[in-house]
Amino acid sequence: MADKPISFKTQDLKKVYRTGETEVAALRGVNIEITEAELIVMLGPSGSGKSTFMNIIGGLDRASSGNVLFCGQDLAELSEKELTYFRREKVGFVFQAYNLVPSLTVLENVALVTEIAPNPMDPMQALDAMGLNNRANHFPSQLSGGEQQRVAIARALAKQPDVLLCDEPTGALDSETGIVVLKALMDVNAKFGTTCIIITHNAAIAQLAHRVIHFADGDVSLVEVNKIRKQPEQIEW
Amino acid sequence: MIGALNQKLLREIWQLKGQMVAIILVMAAGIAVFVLMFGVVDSLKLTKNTYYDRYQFADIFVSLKRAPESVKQRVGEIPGVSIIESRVVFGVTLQIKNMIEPASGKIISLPDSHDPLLNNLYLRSGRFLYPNEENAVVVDESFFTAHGFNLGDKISVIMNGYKRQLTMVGVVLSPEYVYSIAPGALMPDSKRYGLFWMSRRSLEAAVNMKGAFNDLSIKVDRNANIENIKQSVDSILKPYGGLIAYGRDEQISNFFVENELKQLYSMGLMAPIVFLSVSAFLINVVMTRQISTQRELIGMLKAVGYRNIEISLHYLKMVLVITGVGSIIGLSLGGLDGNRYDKNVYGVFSFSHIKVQLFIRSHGFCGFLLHASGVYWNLVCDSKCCESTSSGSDAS
Ligand SMILES: Nc1ncnc2c1ncn2[C@@H]1O[C@H](COP(=O)(O)OP(=O)(O)OP(=O)(O)O)[C@@H](O)[C@H]1O
Ligand SMILES: [Mg+2]
Repeated sequence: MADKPISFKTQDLKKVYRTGETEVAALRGVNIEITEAELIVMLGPSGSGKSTFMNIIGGLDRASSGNVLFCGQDLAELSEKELTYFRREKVGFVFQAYNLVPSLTVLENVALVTEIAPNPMDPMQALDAMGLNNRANHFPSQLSGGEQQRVAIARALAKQPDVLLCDEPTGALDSETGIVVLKALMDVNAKFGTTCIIITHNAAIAQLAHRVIHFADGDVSLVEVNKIRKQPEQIEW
Repeated sequence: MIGALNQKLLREIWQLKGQMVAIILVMAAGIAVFVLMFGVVDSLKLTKNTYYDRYQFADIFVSLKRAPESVKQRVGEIPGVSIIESRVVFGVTLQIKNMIEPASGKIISLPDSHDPLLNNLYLRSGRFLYPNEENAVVVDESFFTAHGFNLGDKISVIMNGYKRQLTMVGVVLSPEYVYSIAPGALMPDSKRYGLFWMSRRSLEAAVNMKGAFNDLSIKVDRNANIENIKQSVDSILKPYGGLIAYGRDEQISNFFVENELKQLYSMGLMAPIVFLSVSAFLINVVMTRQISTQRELIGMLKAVGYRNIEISLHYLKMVLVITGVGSIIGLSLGGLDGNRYDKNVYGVFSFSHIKVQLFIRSHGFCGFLLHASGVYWNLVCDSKCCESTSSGSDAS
């Protein structure tokens, strides 16, 4: 691990949300390094700041103070436009809500992203990787939840991003489809060396990761290294 | 390849086609009415000007008590005066069967030796007068038709205290009386006010105006100063009981004509403004709903790296499609109708009649479209509401 380059490095990363008079400190100075090609699982109670952290390192939101370095580049120094291009070129997001465009077919949903990416794979190939090649011309409403989430992953994957950021990707799925989705993520991580960060409330999923980062109260409370990684079908859901 | 985002746009336009068509219709109606009305106003102006030119509508008018014919010469010598014509004009009372209220009229002389130099008449039916013809008149069309007279009918006229029977031998239109309005009246009333033209010689004899006149019409040179001429005319005619000379702007029929054109013009502006505001409002409703239901998709588009400007443009395109199609339909509808009108109008001089017809036609047209699109809109909205409430209850 140590010989691999650093993907993300955060330094005293803080985020304060202000709504009127009240201030919420969502992140209280996070210091962490994430290596390229790592598969990270983030655990932590609700409200501990996991999503906030992911949105900031993914360039969707800006920190109140502190730095996020991506391959040495400080995201805080990027303009709004550069940040957009950072998301476009480097980051693939997968959310709990699949956020597919209902009026576009599965293939078109993937194309929506590959069209603007600098170095995409063929959308069909991405769907293939998710076992969805026979569903390319279906509309999202014709798919099951697990299939829709796999489309969302295919969409994130198809641009060949450097990092995949997944916020509760299996949150809305039953265990069987959850396993399929997790397998897909592990495949991508193994095959393409894509750095994967997966937020989950399911502690069992942590056994798939290289490392597990525990969040509590806006900071990292514990980092575990899995000596033995399990396969999705081995875990107790 | 049109791109996935444009594909999304096309599918969504198709999904909203009902509302799209409604908005496009309202907008097209607005633009069509705009184009149409301005076409109409332009054509009417052109018609009016052509009519005035061909029929030598005078520039200056003046009435007086009585002046010998020789005075006309002196007025003619004022610099800037190009054509001058003297007339005898006499107010009369009309006696018409089956009419309880008295009607009045005006008898205007026509030269016996030549065609009128100014304010020429257009013969609609019958014939013009023979030189020196007695007891015969040509009559203004609006009065003639208001009473349902026939050519050759006689009309009883009390003129200078004597009752006379005059035969109506022709029906005419005059640029001077596009609207015939009785002195002191506010509105044209073609039943109670009639205009007649009679041989000058006969009229002079009937009203003791031999060798004299009591009305002058003047045409001026193109660049003449009308105000100066009016003043000179006034000073020459003052000893003969001259009233103040006035130009076209104070000539009552022309004043009405200009006023009608102005009204038509502002109508032509009002209706489109209403239509276009309504369509703007509807576009706003649709777009607001579209954007608020797609809030999460917009978030996704941002997350995957679409720029704000690309996303805004995507939603703007829907508006552009509506306005583009609406404009094309509106322009072609309005253009077509305007063209048809232009062809109609040329050479037809019953200017007031066309105007009324057109007015009704264009208003009917707006009304119809407004109504149709309103009903359509209600239908579409109602069905959408039903859909959303039913799908809402399904979900819960
Ligand atoms: N936009 C916002 N405005 C104000 N407060 C916010 C906002 N987003 C998050 N917060 C607050 O920041 C804190 C961290 O939120 P965050 O969403 O990062 O938690 P989380 O760990 O992802 O929780 P969960 O597991 O429930 O998703 C919470 O207290 C939350 O209320
Ligand atoms: Mg969260």
